[in-house]
Amino acid sequence: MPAQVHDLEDPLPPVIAADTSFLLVGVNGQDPRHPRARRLLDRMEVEGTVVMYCQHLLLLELWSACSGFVRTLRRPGELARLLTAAEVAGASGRGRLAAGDVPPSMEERYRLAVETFERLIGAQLADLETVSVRLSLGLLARARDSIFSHSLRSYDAVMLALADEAAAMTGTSRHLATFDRDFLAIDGLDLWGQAG
Amino acid sequence: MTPSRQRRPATSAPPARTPAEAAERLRAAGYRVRHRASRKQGVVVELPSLLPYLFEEHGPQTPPQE
Repeated sequence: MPAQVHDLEDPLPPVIAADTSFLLVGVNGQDPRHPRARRLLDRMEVEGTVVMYCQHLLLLELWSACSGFVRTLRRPGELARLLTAAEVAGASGRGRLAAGDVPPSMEERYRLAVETFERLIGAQLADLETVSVRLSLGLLARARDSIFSHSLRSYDAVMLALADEAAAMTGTSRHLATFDRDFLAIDGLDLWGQAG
Repeated sequence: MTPSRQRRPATSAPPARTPAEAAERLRAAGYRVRHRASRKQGVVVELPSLLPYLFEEHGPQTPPQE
């Protein structure tokens, strides 16, 4: 039996694991999935849902996604808009940026994008009740089991292990907020965010 | 890496029914539960989706074949 995909208005569980895709979409209004992520994040904020995430995994995935993002950006103005938005929200210590302020060096652009997205995601997490779980050998050992049993790649396997941990500690089902469709095939997993 | 340990046995207590109960269980297990900031900090930006780049390293993993 595949994972159960929840409706946006279903009662939220008391604790839920959240992955990088969910948090990234939650801060990007132009992503077509944003309204779904935003609705859930707003509900989590109001209801005090405990959100579990792995900071180490989040950073590794964020750096990787930013690399591709910056590599394909054709207009410096897009990067300037990102940095300025973060500054306006108080998430950055920088002054307002114009397109001409974006450094020509790809390395510097990459650095700016990474630092800014780290702040944006950090600001989003600050609005929630959160538990940051370390990428420990114990978590990795659980993830390794998922690689074998579910044919998941390493990052996804860690997220499943995190959902397992949340469930084991609280006696609840395994809940995961994600836009990664690889999880749809996981038996007994409760998914949030994706359209059924 | 050493062989994975068996999952810890489920607690005999009933499932946490509220976020407060879940937070209490997590604290008892040694986790630090961070409360939300008193002032909303989140911001939304308008940019092309980053998910295609994020998912470049995802997808099902093909098990090794004989």
